[in-house]
Amino acid sequence: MKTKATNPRAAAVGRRGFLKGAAAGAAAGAAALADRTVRAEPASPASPAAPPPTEAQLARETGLPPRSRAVDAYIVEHPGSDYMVDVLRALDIEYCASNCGSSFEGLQESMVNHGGNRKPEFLTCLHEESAVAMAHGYAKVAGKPMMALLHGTVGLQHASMAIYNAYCDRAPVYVAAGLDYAGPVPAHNATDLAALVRGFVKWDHQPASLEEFGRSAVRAYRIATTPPMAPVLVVLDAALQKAPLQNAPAVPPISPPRFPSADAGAVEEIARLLVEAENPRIVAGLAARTQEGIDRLVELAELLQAPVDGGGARLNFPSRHPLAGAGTGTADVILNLEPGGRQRAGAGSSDARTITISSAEFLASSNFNVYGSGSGTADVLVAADAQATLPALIEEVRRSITDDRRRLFAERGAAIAAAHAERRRRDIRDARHGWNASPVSLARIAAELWPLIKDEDWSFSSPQGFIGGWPGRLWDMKRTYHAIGAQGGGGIGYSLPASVGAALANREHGRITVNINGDGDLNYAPGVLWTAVHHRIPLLTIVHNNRAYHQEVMYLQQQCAARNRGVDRAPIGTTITDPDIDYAQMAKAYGMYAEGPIEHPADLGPTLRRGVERVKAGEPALIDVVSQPR
Amino acid sequence: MKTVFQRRLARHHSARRGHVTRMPSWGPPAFLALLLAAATTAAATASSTRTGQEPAALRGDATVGEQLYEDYTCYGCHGHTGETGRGPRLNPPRLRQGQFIAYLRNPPNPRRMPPYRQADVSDQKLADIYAFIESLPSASPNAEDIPVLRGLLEETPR
Ligand code: HEC
Ligand SMILES: Cc1ncc(C[n+]2csc(CCOP(=O)(O)OP(=O)(O)O)c2C)c(N)n1
Ligand SMILES: [Mg+2]
Repeated sequence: MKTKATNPRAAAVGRRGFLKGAAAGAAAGAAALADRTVRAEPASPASPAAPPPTEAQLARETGLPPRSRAVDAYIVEHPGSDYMVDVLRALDIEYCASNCGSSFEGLQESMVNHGGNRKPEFLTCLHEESAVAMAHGYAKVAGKPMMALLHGTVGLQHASMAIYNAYCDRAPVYVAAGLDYAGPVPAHNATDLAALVRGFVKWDHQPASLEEFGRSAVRAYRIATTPPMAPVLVVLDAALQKAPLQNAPAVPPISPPRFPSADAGAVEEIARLLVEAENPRIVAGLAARTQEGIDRLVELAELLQAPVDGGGARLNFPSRHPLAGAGTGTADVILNLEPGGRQRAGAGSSDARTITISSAEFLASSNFNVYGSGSGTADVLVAADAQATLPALIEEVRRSITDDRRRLFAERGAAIAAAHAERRRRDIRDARHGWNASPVSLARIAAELWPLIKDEDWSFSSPQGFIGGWPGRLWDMKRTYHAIGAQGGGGIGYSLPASVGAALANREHGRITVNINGDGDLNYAPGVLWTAVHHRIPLLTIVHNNRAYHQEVMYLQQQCAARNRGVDRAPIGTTITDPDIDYAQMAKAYGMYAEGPIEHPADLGPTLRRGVERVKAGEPALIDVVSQPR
Repeated sequence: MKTVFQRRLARHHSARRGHVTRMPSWGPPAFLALLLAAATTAAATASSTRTGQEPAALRGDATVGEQLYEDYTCYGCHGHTGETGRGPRLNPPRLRQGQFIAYLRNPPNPRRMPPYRQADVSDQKLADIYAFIESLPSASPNAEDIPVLRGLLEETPR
């Protein structure tokens, strides 16, 4: 028996479904990869193991006129792609973000009919970059990958920057690409399709049989989710998707990934350096993969009474913990945990000892600079996953602290806590600057949002580098999903689609997702606004509309000045005016609730409140705020 | 000569600040500047920066200065009201007019604050920009007078 394709509207999460999801989500807790055992689900709706009678058999039994030979030859009742869907379901892949293409029409048909458009559910994307970036944002909240399905050479090329971002950000994305040698457009084929992105996926494979597909699909999943996590690519030959399924191979066993941690000797050495240090500092880049990572880091920092510089990207350490920040004075020992992205390894005094624990060492053959500046060198460089190493390190540090050291640590901790509180007060006072100015200040946007979300379960999904870091400076962040970080590879055009993906993962927990989105970033592929509306994904997007690629305005200003040619032409090619873009109209055209442009700061609060209400009711909303450049 | 685009852009930027209540250009600060300018001799010359001396005050026009502040993209790093952005706050001015002009010619860290050369931005233009900055009211109330910030301060340990 076949399951009917679910009606997207019926499946959509309305207000009540959204709130109900909240309760269920809270009970289940966030599914974190570290703690999750991947297991095969019971047989899918149309299990290939027990095929239903074919139409020819039925015809024989019912005495109806038999099918003509031509029709018989045309119809493939049990195609190979049904098995592919069964494997994807066994892998617990809930969504497949995709821009449709004939190279995977077989698989798409199996998803919607054989699979009933459930696990994976097909998400309609209007650009491949959106599909992959959605999967990137989703992975950072859900702690597990979703699928992005791409069409041949062209779809893969559209997707490539987003794959690169996820690679640099060490986020697992399950990329699949269709390849149809008999397809309508030969230019969509390649002898070696994966070559297009091989430099920035961790593994790729093009299985030659369905059996091999099963093994590759499972292997790809495990490789993607084993640190250093990264995108993987499985190339799906259309012939495999379409061939009749004779005897469906079994779904290969799925074992949860293991996490490489530092060996005992390295742990001992690092613990000794940390305990003996006078003024150690911990710098965390992409260290916390799950909440467990944040909690362990708190434990280590408290044992040592050492400050933790969260790196400003994804949340590694609670923003209001007294040990949060750069601490006091110059560090003599610096522990870098998973440096990455734009982050620089911490600097201390010139003779400071540096320790780096980084799983990116396992990507050492990569063509790309995925380590974060300067982190490829350290006095002690350990190739391991930082989060997985923390429990052993904590134990070793605990064992080696003497009473003398403990007294000294307590004094150190008090000074760090005082510096932390002082820093926070300074940040709050700084937020007053330009409070009543028009265009609206970025500090005010963050400050006015806070009372609207602080008593809700909330998630902040966009990077903070271009908005003054205000959410992190003002808000109480303590869960991984309170700040999921940045692009990884610095590729702009990330915030919007990654936020839609993050919001999708947050939806089942009834969590409000907030995205403060640069106008430049938003314009790369705004069609994902439609995807959010279509799939009922609640997300509040606030456009940080400085009508410019402002980062580039500033770079060009510097360049004009360096050549002594006057600075007044720096807006050429870097600003987005004439005409001004009306983002509220744009969002409305995609069917989204929208307001703006908000120019007067007094209008901000009430508008944000209306936006938050909409999102709480389960729908996406966009507010265009004309903002100060920085 | 400015391109149409640049003029359009400049107009756009100044229109966007329409909501900030500013003192009229001929309000007290500009008026004081005028008095000061009248009191000094005509020796307020461009050459004074070369000698390293502080030039005598020029008479600045805040309305002209508002446009120049946008044209020369000061807003890019100091915000449209001189109170936000990557650079330090300019409003209220910390430097006197002469020091201000000298600073823009030879900022101590040119990689951070670009130098503005005489040929593009005359001393007179800088005096206009200065007058504009002086004329700006503060858009920055005390944190204690902003309820949400006061609330955040109260949550912060002493
Ligand atoms: C590319 C960014 C940038 C631009 C454009 C820029 N500034 Fe600056 N400005 C800075 C930075 C950064 C500093 C601080 C420099 C330092 O700390 O050494 C600064 C410092 C200053 C100071 C010194 C402030 C003080 O109190 O010490 C003044 C005055 C100033 N800028 C005025 C201007 C004016 C007027 C313009 C336009 C004509 C302008 N700036 C354009 C970045 C910029
Ligand atoms: C794909 C890509 N193209 C170009 C750039 C160069 N770039 C860096 S920042 C930036 C401007 C981003 O504009 P917006 O999102 O509006 O942020 P703003 O700087 O204005 O706050 C650009 C174009 C990039 N990083 N990535
Ligand atoms: Mg912008």
